[in-house]
Amino acid sequence: MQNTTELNNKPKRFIYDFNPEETEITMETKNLEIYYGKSLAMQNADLKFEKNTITALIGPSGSGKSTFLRSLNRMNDGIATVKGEILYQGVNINQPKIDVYEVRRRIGMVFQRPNPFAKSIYDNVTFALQRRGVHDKKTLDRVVETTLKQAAVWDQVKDSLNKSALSLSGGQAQRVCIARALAVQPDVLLLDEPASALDPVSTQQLEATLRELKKDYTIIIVTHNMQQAARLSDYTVFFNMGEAIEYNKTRKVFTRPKVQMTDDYVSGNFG
Amino acid sequence: MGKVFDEEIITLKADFMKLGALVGEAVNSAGQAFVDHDTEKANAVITNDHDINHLQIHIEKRSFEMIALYQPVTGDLREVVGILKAVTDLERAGDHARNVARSVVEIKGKQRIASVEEIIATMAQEVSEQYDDSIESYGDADKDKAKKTAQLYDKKIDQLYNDIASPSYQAMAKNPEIVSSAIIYLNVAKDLGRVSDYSTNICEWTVYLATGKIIELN
Repeated sequence: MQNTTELNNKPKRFIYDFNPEETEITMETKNLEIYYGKSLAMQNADLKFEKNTITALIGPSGSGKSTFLRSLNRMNDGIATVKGEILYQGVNINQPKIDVYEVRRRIGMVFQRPNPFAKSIYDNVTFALQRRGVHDKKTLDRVVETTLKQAAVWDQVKDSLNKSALSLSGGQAQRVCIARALAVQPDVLLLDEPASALDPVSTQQLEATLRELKKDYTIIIVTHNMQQAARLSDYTVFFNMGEAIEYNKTRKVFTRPKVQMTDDYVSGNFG
Repeated sequence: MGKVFDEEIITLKADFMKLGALVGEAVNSAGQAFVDHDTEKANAVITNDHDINHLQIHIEKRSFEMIALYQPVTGDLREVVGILKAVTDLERAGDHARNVARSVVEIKGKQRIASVEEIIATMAQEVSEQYDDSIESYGDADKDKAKKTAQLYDKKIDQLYNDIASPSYQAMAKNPEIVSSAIIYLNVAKDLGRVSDYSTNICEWTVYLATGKIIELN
């Protein structure tokens, strides 16, 4: 039990300050406000995301973490009103004149449930490229092999690329979905609870895949699983009631968080 | 447990073994310094104690983080908890080696009893060997070696302590001039005895690491 003085001395919010000279920032949000209709769902989340790291977004249901994640590649267009700036490589992508498809090519998304298209594994991975007019078999073959290897599922599916992706197990399907997201060569990978529908072994394989991928990509992941955030990520953001409460290095968040509310949440004494 | 944990536990154990070697060196040097009346060597042991303390704190911090971040179970848990417990024993053994080194400085210029110092030399040698064997058993998670080491030295070290204590008391009773030296001999024998006790603790943590059982050796 901490005494009252100590509690009073703790800050109500803490957002990690990157040293701009040492850190390359891939994405940044400024003065973000997200409204569903007239109700404000998300605010006070000025966050920076460092290149080639994994940042985990944690928090209770309804805390705004998924809303925040989806706004990063404008998945909220048409669903919510997003005010403020979302900077990707210094450019505010939260403007009508910015091509939303180009945004989503650079900033890919993998969802909670594996959602392969009802097509072959090969066509799943090459879908976006074919839609963009890439039909050269050699190029497509190379992309399929590279991305499936990156997603650590190549060895399991290389002999059945023409089989329906719907026949895959959950873990394999999720990794094919990651390969599909990688096929358009994004910079940033957003993942919305990618392991919540997977068993422990597939989860471990997925985590190993993400650890490999961070060498080439900047990864932001929403997870309900705190242990996953702890063992996987470099940085952790704790959201509550539509605000970013604490953003710090993961080691700090899970050993000595600065904000009492974060401490309560990660140690399971919340509410 | 995943690859990252495995890599981190290798690093943690390497740090622990490094600390083990530093303390082993301190125990050995302090004993040698006492036997050779070598204050220079003794001062080096005293200075190096800071490195030991720093490394201990670093290892403890990493262990706490690993428990918080990875929530290890079974064998993985024993790896971390074993180190977390044994690291305290190492650091304390290091403190007693430093005490012996301080005694080298303290006894300088005082009247000596050669026969007692000979036994201290033997005890320092035995304690140093016991310590090295204990650390080696931990490094190899060798429970049989741990048990054997603890048994082999237990009575021997007690006997050597008594062999130092009785003539020291007798000398004090006979000759007031020798009192301050005799007290130092008693302290050194006690410090060496404590190093031996901590070595036994390390053997107990070796058994825990290998089997998950918490036992009392001796």
